[in-house]
Amino acid sequence: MSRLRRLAATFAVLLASGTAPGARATPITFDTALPVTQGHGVLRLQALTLESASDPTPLDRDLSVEALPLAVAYGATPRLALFASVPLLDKELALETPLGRRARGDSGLGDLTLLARATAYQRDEPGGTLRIAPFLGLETPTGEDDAADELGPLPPPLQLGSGSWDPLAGVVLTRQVLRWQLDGSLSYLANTEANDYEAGDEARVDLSCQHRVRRRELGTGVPAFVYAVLESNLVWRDRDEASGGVVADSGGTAWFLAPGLQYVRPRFVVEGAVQVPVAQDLDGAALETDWIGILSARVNF
Amino acid sequence: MRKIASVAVSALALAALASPAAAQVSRATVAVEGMACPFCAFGVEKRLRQVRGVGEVEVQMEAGTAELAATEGGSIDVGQIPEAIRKAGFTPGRLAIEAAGTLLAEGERIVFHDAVGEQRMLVIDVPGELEEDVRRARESGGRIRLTGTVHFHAQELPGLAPESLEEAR
Repeated sequence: MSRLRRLAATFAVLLASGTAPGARATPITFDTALPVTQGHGVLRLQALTLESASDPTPLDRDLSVEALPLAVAYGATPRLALFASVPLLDKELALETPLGRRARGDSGLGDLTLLARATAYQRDEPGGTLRIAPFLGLETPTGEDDAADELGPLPPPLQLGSGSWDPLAGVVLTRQVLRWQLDGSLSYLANTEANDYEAGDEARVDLSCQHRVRRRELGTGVPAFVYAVLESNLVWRDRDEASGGVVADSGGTAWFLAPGLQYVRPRFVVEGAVQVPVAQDLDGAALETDWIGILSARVNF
Repeated sequence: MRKIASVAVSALALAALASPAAAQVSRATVAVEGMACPFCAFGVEKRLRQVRGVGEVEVQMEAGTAELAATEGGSIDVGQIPEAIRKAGFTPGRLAIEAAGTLLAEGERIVFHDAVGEQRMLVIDVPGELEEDVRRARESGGRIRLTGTVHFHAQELPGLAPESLEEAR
């Protein structure tokens, strides 16, 4: 039993930074400042897979996260949009231990995020727009945060929910014309303490450039658009704290690029991207991200 | 027999009043500033479909406009169009209409009445080549068809700047 406890403790330390900062990055889908029609909505479903299997240590850690985030946006007024999103998660970490290779993880609903975005600046012109929209949100502790297995409670990064109420704020800028679109977003997530554990705060700089391809002339009506997309995500995360002390193997900075494609129709958007790390400067023995794949569909209703 | 004939005449008179040819705002084209992707165009189309009297909407992405056609026998409520665009999150631009109705003098003003009597617009900015046609239409009180641009001011009535005008058959 004491060996199992030691193993659980090892897991906790290793997983303190197990999910690299890029895990929450959603290129191609981080918010734009484009309007949501008053009284109408947009439904978005994503399929996201994260792989972190390049562990040079003898532990040979292999982290995989499958996520199906479901998000709904509603136009409360022409300038105020309300968002709610919740992911369906499947997390698993496998590693070598003195007892052989072990895997721990959990599946289920994660934390619900509520967000309000207000258009503060809007300049429209024929065939183009420029908008700046600050947003405020809250990650609510709806996901399970006390899951356990035969080794004891799962370490916080493997839990589906954080157990804490975490405010977030930011601003997004969108410049869109018929031929291309540019989005930029700055955001900050202030993680708070729960269950004697506090994940580090997270700051992000997201950029997205979309260029319309395939058809030069638009013709009449509303044709389908195909965009080639390149996104950049710079993520900084502060060190976690457990029982009042800093977790050494946590926090750091990571920069990702994500090439992708977007197919846009009036009623729906289908998009996909692969997010690959350009640079990862993580503290301690944090596990780096290999890649993140994202498929996404949005539907107007 | 005489009663049947009377009813038939009344029905014909009502039908004439309500028919598309009788007079109404039959078409409208509005510029939608800020619209630059198909996904956003959907909201514009949905909002414009809720404007009273609108039967068909076709968004022209490259032109940045939405073309509206009235329902059978209906008249597009032009006053609701700018608000519909704003509720979709965009900025309404030039609004051009095709309409039929009459020109009536109200004091010093000339006012366009659609045939179903629901919409009135103040005739403004009459170009020189149309001045004589406008005068004749006002004096005769006969039915006309016109195209023009609608302007919304803080005044009582929206303005209508005619661009073409002809007698309705």
